Amino acid sequence: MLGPINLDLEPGTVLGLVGPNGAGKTTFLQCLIGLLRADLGEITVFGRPNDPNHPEWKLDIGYVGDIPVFWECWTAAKNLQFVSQFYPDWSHKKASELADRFQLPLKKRAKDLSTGNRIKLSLIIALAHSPKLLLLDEPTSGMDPVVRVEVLDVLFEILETGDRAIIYTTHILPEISRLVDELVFLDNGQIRLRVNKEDLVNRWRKITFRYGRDVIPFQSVVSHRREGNDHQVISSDFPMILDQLRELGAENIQDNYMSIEEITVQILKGGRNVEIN
Amino acid sequence: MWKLIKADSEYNVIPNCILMSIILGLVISNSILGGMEETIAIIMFIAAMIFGGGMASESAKNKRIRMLSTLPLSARELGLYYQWGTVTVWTLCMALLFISSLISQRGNLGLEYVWWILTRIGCLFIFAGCMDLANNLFFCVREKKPDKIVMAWIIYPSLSIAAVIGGLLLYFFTISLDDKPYWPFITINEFVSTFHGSFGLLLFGLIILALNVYVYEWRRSYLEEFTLPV
Repeated sequence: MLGPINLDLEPGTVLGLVGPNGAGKTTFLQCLIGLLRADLGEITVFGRPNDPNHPEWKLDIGYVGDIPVFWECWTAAKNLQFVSQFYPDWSHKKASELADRFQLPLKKRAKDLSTGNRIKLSLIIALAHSPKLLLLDEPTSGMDPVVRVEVLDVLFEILETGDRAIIYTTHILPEISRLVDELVFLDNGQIRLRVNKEDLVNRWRKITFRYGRDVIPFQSVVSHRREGNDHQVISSDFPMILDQLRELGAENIQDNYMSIEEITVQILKGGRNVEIN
Repeated sequence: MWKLIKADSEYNVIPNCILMSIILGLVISNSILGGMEETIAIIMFIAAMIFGGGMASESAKNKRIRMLSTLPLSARELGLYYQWGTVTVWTLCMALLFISSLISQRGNLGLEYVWWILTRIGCLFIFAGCMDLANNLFFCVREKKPDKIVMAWIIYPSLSIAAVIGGLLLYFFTISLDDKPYWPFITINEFVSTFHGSFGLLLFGLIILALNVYVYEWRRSYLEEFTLPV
């Protein structure tokens, strides 16, 4: 069960979709590209409804799915040639350049390609017609680190023009911190939190302090550990906690930045029990 | 759609060659020996039932719908593309059979033979159309448990069984059975041996195929082309 989801995306933005397995990330992307039909509501892409009988809106989208599928007995090159017929803006030069950069064996049959190479082929198909919106469902899974960095570099280059947007799902957290501008946390098919990456980093802190008595439960505390009089809390709104701690007379208060990976893990670990403001 | 059809013919060049060799072998035999129409038509019909089902469940084709549905192609075009094979291959088979009979009979074929051919074309369209309709309807229901259960255990099996039994029965009822004086055989056989009967059957088959194209547009999922609902 997915939704209700209200989501709009500005050009030049990379939206990272994060959530536990089964949260609805893949389903959400499949609804956007039209592989699944939503029971209720409306999906508009660049102002046009994603009507399956008027597919012009798909010209502006590049999609890399969870299971890349091709004409399996054809070579990668033949698959590219086949897909190119459907996109007026397809660039053979760009497809060829990307194949070189990703070291994709174009003469191999699709069925003989490794998982990583299948995703690379899918990425080239998604990128060669210069779409305005890229939907990437774990595009770097199964890739070696060198190609993964190459893929991210290509995505950065795409974003340089400022008129394109990406919706990106991944379980590789360092990619989130490098690539995305905004994060959407999906849980049980619903948006739990949508937040700017900078805001997230600025508001979340790991705070340590000394305090002799039991601490009154604060709002915005995601986790709390205590060893004797030493406490450690992770907060999603650290200025408020700091004020409260000072009022209580806590000593040795120190706040430490958390990486996007740490914050994401905390949010995902907490599931529905984490109170996020 | 033509791009897809062209790609399909390029992709399946070896199976197509094998299939065409067998069909040509059969029809050439008929044009030389004559009188084999019924036998050849039965072989073709059963082969179409078996291979049609087998090809639909072939994994590459089953999943390829995922790729095609992400391309800027309308659902109607894709629906037509998926029915196109049934229409062209079977019509071609029957047309070749007709030509072979024309050769073996040295052009002396009565109109009843035209009705006979139309009946066979209509029978397969009805059979294949019902099978596809069951499949497409299965993907039209919402991903909710009660809907899926009703579809999986009642509608899908009913349509599939109806297609198999109905298709076979209808086909065998339409065989020229002068020595079988049973009621349904005689009545149906008399009916389809006329212009109205045979043309009506063909029209009904085409309507079911067209219905498939329409239902295809209303699928809720294009993740799989064909599935067993259990």
